[in-house]
Amino acid sequence: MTQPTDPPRYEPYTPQPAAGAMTCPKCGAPMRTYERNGIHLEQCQGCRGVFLDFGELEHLTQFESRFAAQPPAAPGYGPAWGSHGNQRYRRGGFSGLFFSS
Amino acid sequence: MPTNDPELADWIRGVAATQDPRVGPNTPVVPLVTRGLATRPVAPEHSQVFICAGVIVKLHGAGTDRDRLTRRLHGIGATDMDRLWIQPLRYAPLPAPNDRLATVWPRVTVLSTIETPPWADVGALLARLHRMPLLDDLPRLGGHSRLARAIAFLRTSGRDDLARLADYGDGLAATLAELPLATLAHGDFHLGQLGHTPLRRSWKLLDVDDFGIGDPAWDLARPAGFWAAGLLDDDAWATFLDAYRAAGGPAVPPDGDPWPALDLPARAAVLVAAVQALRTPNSGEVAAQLLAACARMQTG
Repeated sequence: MTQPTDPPRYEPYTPQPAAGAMTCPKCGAPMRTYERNGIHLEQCQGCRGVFLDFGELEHLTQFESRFAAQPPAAPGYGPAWGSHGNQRYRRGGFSGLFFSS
Repeated sequence: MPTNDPELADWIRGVAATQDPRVGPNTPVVPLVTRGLATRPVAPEHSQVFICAGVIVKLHGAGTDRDRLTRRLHGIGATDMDRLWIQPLRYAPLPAPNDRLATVWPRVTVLSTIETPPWADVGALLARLHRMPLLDDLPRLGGHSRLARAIAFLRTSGRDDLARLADYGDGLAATLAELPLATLAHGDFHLGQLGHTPLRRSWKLLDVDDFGIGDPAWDLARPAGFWAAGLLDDDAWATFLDAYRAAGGPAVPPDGDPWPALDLPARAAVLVAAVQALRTPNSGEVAAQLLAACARMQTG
């Protein structure tokens, strides 16, 4: 294998936040606004921290208690140990797809 | 939350200052939450990632092998790999406090946990990695080691059901060890492993710790296993798999049932994720769903 010797040139991290956008109080990166289930929230593009306005956490909690997903249309394959056809998907269950183990 | 170890923070500032002239004695050193919670990390021996101005400093997990880490860094610096991987700011690990090794990276924008993941881009990106020419001198991908660590944790739990899952994991590990060393693979692919630089907006891979040679199905295992466990919806899974196939990804046959190629790594991914959920505060329902999938695996 050829050995890379020259490090790549440092590229300053200076993304331009949108006008009026918030800056993350922890790490200083710009935050981006998302709408999720009718709730506005800001997420940091650097450290993934989330900012909720007053009352939004309560909205989310209420929404979760009303949660119901569409029954899945299975694609016709999958393992015997899978859970297809006998339960609802957990929306947001894929948050576990963001972390190492 | 700044790190609560002032000497470590100073050391990280010193490293960051060699790259980013904006770093000063009061620049915050912010730990990036990659598992558990910022206030309750899962284990002190795990790797930790810190943000300091425009630089990321990663302290690798206790016991990380310097030679293997160096070979992996060289691997992602090989010809054309910069189109697939975020490149480090130096290709050699640094000795860090407390007998750790550190690597230094540019700060990047990471994938939001809120918006719909770019599953098609992700599938194509992995297919391109798996189609790269094999590199000499790369270690085996790290999925095997992660499975072994998860099994070791189950053994220490003192619970009968988890001890049985550990026995099952041993058999799984033995079978997976026989899979061919076929292609390059990320080795610990999940959605947190994607970033882009401010100027180049396409998603690239992060985290070189488990990069190596092995069965490329390991990189599809987490989405596949989460889909099978009912934690990822059919549309997302189909978009990911279709894009991977359309880009010529070699982990699964180009059409027909992909599951024979995915089953064993997907089982391993679900077992490892179940252990991680067990170790993470407030992951009750997801942990239960993953453990239920593990229970079904042991019977069929």
